[in-house]
Amino acid sequence: MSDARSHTFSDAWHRVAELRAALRPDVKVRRQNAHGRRWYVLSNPLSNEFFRVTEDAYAFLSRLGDQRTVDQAWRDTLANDPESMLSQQEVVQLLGQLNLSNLLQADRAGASASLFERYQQRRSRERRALLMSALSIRIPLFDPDRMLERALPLIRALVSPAGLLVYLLLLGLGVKALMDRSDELFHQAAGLLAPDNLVLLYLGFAIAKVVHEFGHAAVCKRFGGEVHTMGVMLLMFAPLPYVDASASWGFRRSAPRMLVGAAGVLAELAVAAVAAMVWAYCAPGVRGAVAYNVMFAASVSTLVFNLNPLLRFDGYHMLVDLIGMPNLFQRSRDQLRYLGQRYVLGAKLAKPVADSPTESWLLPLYGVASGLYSLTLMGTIAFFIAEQYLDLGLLLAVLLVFSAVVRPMGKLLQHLLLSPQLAHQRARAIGSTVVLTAVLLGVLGWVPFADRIRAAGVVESMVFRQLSSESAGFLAEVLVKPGSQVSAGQALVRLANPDLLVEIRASRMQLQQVQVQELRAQALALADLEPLRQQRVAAEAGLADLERQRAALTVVAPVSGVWSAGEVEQGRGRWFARGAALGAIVDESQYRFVAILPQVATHLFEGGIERAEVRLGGEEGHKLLLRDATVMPFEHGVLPSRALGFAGGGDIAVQPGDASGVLAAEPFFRIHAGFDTVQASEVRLLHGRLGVMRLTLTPKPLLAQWGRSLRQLLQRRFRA
Amino acid sequence: MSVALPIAQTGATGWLRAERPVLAPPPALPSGFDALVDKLLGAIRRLPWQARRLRRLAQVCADRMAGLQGLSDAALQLRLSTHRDAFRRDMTGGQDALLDALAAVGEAAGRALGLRPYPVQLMGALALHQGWLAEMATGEGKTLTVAMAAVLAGWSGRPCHLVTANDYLAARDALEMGPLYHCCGVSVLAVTGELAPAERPARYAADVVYVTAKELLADFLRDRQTASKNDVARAMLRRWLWRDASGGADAVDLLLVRGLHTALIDEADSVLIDEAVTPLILSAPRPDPDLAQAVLWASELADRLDAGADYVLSLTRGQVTLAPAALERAMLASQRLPRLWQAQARCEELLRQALVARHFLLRDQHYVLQEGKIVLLDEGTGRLTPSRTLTAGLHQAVEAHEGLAISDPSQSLGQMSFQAFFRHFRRRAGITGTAHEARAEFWAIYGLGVLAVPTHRPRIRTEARPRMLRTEAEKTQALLAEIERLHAQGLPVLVGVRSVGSSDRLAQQLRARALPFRLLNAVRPDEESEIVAQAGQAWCITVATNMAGRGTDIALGPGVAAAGGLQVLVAEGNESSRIDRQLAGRCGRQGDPGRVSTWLSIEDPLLQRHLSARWCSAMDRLAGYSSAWAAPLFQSIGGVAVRIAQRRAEEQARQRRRAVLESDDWIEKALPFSD
Repeated sequence: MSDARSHTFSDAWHRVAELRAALRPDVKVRRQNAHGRRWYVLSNPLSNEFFRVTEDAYAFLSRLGDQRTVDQAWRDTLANDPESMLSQQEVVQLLGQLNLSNLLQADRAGASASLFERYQQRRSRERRALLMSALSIRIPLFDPDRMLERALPLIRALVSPAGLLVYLLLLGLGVKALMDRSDELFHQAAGLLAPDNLVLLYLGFAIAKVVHEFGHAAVCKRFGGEVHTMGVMLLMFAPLPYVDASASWGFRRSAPRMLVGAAGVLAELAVAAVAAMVWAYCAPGVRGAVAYNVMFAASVSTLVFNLNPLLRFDGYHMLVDLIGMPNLFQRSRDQLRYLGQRYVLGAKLAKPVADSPTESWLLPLYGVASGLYSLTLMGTIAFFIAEQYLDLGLLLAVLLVFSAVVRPMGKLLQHLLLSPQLAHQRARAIGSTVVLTAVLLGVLGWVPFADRIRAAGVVESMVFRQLSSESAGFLAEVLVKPGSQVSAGQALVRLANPDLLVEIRASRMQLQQVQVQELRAQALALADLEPLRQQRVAAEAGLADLERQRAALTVVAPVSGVWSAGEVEQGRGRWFARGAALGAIVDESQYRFVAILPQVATHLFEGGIERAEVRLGGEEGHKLLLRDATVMPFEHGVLPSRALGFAGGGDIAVQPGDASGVLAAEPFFRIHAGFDTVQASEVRLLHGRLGVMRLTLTPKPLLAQWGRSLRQLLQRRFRA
Repeated sequence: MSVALPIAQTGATGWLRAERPVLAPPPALPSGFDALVDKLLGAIRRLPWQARRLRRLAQVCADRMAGLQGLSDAALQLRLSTHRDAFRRDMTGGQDALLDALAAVGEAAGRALGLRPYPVQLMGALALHQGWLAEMATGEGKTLTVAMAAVLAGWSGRPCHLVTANDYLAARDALEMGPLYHCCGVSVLAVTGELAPAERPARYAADVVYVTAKELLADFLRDRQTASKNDVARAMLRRWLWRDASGGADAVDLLLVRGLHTALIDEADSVLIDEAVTPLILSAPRPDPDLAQAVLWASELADRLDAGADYVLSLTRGQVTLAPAALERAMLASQRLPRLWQAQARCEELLRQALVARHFLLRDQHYVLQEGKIVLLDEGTGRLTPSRTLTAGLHQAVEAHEGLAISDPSQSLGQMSFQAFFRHFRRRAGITGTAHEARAEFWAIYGLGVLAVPTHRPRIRTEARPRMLRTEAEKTQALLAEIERLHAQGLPVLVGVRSVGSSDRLAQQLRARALPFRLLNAVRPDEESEIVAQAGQAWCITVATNMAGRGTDIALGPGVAAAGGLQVLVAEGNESSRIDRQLAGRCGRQGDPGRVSTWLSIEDPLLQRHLSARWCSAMDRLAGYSSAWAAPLFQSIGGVAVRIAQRRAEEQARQRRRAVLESDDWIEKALPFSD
């Protein structure tokens, strides 16, 4: 209103001069302090519309009434309090804005027709907003105010020192319950997003959010606000409850306002505590599962989403209140727009939104952070949903692109072509936009950038011999350190198998028994001799076999070389079944690296591989150059190592039925590359060691690279 | 000038009602992409095939008119009254009926006025009837064209207002065209500024009313007030609520304007574009001794401030920025002020207004002094506007600066912008010589498509390339030499200048060279018609401000056409190329020869105000070079500079009009209380 201040007289004064107008009697007024200035918040309880005026403006409004006209009131101020007098222009603006917000009543007709018109406009604006924010549609259902009115004694009891004590106790008990069963807590978390759990998870969310919203409503009511709308919000098409607790904005003190904002999260945490106890002390079953999901929804989601100030949920509103910058979100965007207009488009008339040094850095910072965050979040959600439901996900992606790219572009275009702000600088603004766009597109579309692919793989010796235990046993002793040079015949590992010893003893005694029976038969019953001899031979063979197994408990190297055995490193006492892998004896002189790539990455063949490097697990600091990288353009059903498949923690899907975990479920390429001998001496090359290979292809423009990645992603995800 | 005309036979006093004139709100201005689409629609509407279609229709009409020549007067009267009845029932009837009717009106014009309309005039009338803005060159008989369209509109019985550029034209046209209207059974009257309010209702009751936009809007606003004060129901309510006995229902039949239906606007670009910058404000003086005291204080203080140290002037934006130190000094001295004006914001406002009055409002350019009073000049037409005042405070600041008695500030009683007003008409159409430049705005604001009507005879006017000179003094010398040269050949010369001040300066120079000349400016408007009538005679030199640009038709004296016709010298670049063209349109009417040349200098206010100082100094340096290539380069760069300056000025003016319209819209929406 700085412009209006400097026009003591207004040409539109006749519009209001003879008017007897005043604030509507049902308008509520609350005082507020912000930035060391005193403001008055006027609110219309029927329509929940708010308007903030300065102290001077409020003083003027107080003089209005049906006893005097606006002109008389203005002259009154002029006579009594010229220091705080509003200019005529200011009065005209003030009354106009109040009337537009339906806060004014006047003795003249003419207002009623436009009241309906404004109502229509508001409705259509709301409907448009509803369409534009298709991802969070609000459908008001009922007015909970009566209900809250009746529940007021209960609410008062809860929002009190005693209530706080009970609340803290409840949280403590909940945390204790979680501690008690912390092992299962994380175990069960893995299955949270499993398809069969989604219904329960949604149920948990619904319960948590209902409590959340009632928390807001109750505290708002407790401090005198009125809550007239409660309904269902379709957040990402999932119905969730919401209430309109905006009456709390009119609270005079900031503490109750903050408490209303925090109430939702606090209530949810209480629910989470109860759910935790139910889950911990109940027998497993449907009840336990529901409790677990409620607990998750009411704790994790509320802390990550509701309290996050980058999204416009409770955390945001609390932050806004705390730092005293109302409309932070909108204003941060406006400030960004201003910066763009002022410095990119060169609009000298653009006015900054920030009106303090703090705001001038905080607003753009917040704008960028929240913008990037919500984009990322939306992208992730779209992608996540697309994995389950392709069509829905694509629809979301289209909406996202529309709201994040097309609409801002349209607005920019509209601004460039039509905005009166650019009156003199239109040519410059269009020019700089075109140049910027051209530079951006040029850099992205024409300037080649290094094109790199990463692929997981393992170190593999060119010549190696797999070692397996010939008898089962516990690992008793590792005689040679794995990774060291061994010679043929050298004992590597000693296994212990007490069962085998018992078996040998039993077998010996059985042999003795058969031998004694055989002696006795020679004297007494010759006819039995032959079968007994056969029994003895069998017993002797069995014993010999057991003895051989006993001998095999000490595993010796069959050939000379380096013994690499990841399995053995897991420690003593481990049970090795017969035939279990005990590493390999490897010829150390020749290693190669074998990497695996899903088969959609066909562009490997388009341009040559310019450079291949590998970083081995555990020694990421060393970058090893590889030479002669070649791609095997055919399908390998078997992965070179279990560690590369899902079963071994890698990212290639393996066939679910395969116990060995090396049969890949999807086609892939193998990439072979030799190590550079000089560099390879710097690190320990071990057979089976994991690493990540980085292939540098012929440079390509970024746009081409991104487009390719997107196509490959879609192809791989959706087999499209 | 008062016009004596027989009172029309078809007065319709029954139109006057006790209700406040309720207007259907005009369609909202499209915004955003709607505006873009609207722009596109406008461009499509202006495609040339529309003009070709109308031209074909006009030819058909002309043929039918020729067929009516043999008809007796009585038969023609019968025919006219048949058409009149048909139009009364349905004024948008079929195309065939329209062509028949127009042919009859054309024939009637031929008999009543002795002017047989050319096909191009019929085309113009058709365009007007169908809601176009017809672009017709000067001297092509616009008056008759509009009159024919007005007859068609008058037949319908709905109010038809024929809006003219000034009172003189309103009175003259109503008088000249009277016989045609009379012949067609349409009553016509003119409403001019000096008419008393009591005389007006009867005049407005005529079928066709010739009136200026200012009179019409002012009367309309007065009606709104009269009606709202006399609204019976509201008056009763007020009496009941506040025991307020004032405001009976006696003055009900004081309503003036019959209603708003058809507006045919002559000189449409002047009325709808140039004049639309300032909203019309109905005001009454209200004594305010405090203000007078405050203004004198500020004027005194402003005299002691230094430009640069205490305040910064921005010529391009017309703004004053006060230095904090100067403001502090003002605050210290503010003890002498009445209490109201002691607050800092008030002090600053006073001081700023005093400085604006010193630096931006120039005597003889923006206002003249007459009988100890400030009379504002209309920048577009150069005419005196005694009824206008600046905003309260600023007007007094100028008075204080000039050392005049401080008048009472005027308090506004009603306000509306011309743009908003004309948007209220159901049917709008316009005619002018220069519309092409503002075609986008005509469409965007008024929904008027511009349609070029070809000239009856081909033009043989020659236009010299603009001459660019370095300084004002050099320009004046060159201009005087040119005037002398042309005068020696016996040709009539018309020199167009922008302000009263420069017309006086040029007059002095001419006097010094002993050249005979006539001076036409706002200070002596009475001789206007006489001077204009003489301007086409041989050996005649006329110096005129822009007021000579509108609605005047300069006929050539005997032998002048053969010698080369009227020579128009545009002595200063105007803010809009439209006004340049308007002035150029004074010569070469109806196939007459003529020549236009434009004279510019770097010191022209147009360039100084709208180009950056760097640009001006670069041009100045270029003019200083004496090499062979510098001079032609300077000329061509000068041409570009003028075009750019005009583009900027036009854009600025457009923004101002847009702002006026938007603030009008906002107030209408936010404060819908009747006034």
